[in-house]
Amino acid sequence: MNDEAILVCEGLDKRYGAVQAVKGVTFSLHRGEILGLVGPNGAGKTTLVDLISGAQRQDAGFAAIRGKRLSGPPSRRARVNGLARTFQHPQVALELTVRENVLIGVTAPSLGSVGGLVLSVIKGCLSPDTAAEDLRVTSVAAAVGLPEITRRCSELTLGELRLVEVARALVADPSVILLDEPFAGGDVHGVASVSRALQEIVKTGASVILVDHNVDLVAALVNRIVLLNFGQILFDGDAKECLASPAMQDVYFGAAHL
Amino acid sequence: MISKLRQRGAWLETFSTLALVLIAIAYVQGDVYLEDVAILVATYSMIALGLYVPFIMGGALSMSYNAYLGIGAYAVAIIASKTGLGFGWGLPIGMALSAAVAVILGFATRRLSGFFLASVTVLFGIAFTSWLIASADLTGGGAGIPTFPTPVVFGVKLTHTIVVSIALLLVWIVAVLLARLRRSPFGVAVRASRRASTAVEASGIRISTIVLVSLALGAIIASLGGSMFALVNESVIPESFAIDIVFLTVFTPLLGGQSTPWGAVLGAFLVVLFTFELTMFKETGTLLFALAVLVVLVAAPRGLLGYASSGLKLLTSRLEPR
Repeated sequence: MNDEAILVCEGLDKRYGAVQAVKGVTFSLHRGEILGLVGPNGAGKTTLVDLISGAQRQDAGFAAIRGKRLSGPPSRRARVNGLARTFQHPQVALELTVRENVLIGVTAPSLGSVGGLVLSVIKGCLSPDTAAEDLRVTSVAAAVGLPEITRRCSELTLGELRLVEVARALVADPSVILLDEPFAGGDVHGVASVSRALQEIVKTGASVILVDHNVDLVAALVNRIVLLNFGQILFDGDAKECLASPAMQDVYFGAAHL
Repeated sequence: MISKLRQRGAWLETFSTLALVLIAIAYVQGDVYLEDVAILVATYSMIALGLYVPFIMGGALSMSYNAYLGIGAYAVAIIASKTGLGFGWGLPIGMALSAAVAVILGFATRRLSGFFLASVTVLFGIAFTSWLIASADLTGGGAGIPTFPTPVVFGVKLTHTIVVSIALLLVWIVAVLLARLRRSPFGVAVRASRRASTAVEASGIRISTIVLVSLALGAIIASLGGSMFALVNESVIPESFAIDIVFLTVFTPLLGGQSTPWGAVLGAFLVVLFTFELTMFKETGTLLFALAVLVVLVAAPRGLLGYASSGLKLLTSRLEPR
């Protein structure tokens, strides 16, 4: 790990009516770093992820990857800024195979423009097979723990669907990956496979933001924690220090600490 | 290994369907009635194939295919009868116009989906027929363009029989190309966007753009079908391009099977069989077709070909030693 900041968030604000969901959030993510974004339900984690990924627009502030400001829809951020993400509720086409779902991560750049789409229609009619892309899909899928890529996704467990999402994100060779609640609804096996997938991600040099409300799980996997509550950052620093910090005690154990 | 098997299956499909189409061409040849039935099957097939990418693969139910069919037909008829250009120009002009209309209509309705998209595009389809009747100067109004000269290519007169054969071959070509497109990166992205659009968008593909490209592709295919229909009849009338034709066609892939474009073609064949060919049922043909669709939806939700292919898989898995 070095100190080069890959992702920078500066003064991000988002308000829904009377509720200030995210307030002046400023932090940076370094190259090869795994950053845990934690906080109780309603802390503003999902809103912050939405602002970075482009699902929602901020009222003020900005986010930038490698000095380039993030703007426009999620598809643009994926292509231009190298941002990839997974979803709290896995967004996987169940009637497609693992190979097909992951393939989208490889082929998306060539399908990103009108010209690219028209070309891909012509090329798809003439030579539809994707031998080179399939090799990459196979190796990345195997690395995150999905050896059988011809399986239909409707046969997979929730944990395996999350791995499909990780593979789809990873295969695009992104500079930043957002993992949104990868442990929700999962079991012990799911946690182990996500942590294995994390190691694979870090090997590629990508930086990761791991979002979850389960502080203990996250703390065991990350270098650094950002603690969010009521839309504001209460703590930003070493994972172990975070667990022991008064801010953490306040947020998670409230009255007990007093 | 996997892709080898897939390729082998694809070649088998390509050649067996070619054989079927060639048999059909030989069978109907010379019999005017059978040729008329064949061109109906070809026309319905082209609409069904036009629907295949945006609707069956992508889930966008745009209903204006009667308009694209009409544009293709009228483009050929108008150019052959009213301009000095060769009829051949009508095909690309019709396809380009249809694609343009599909993109404009798709852009205007980009925030709609499901029922509302279907309703608005039905209205557009109805409006198109009214426009055909109203703009008599260009389209000949209610009487249409009753006759235009038999097209000639390199000194060869394109007779009824020849055009019907070409139309059937075109159905084969389009279905084969679409079957290939379906498994290509574009096809995979379109199919994934149906249920996981957020993820496809987050991977870098603009959903609104890929939908527009699919709709344009569908319109081009339907327009080509319309052009062939006009060339066979050497005339066009507005009634041929009423919205009813879309209501019948929309079910063809459900009936035939959705996992291959050939399901759409099989469905189109059955539509024509039920609504035109079974003369003893005449009026009730449409009703019978509706019943058949219901039966298939209940008994074989993946369509007839889906049913056949799982039967085949079961059979081969039993035959192969494990």
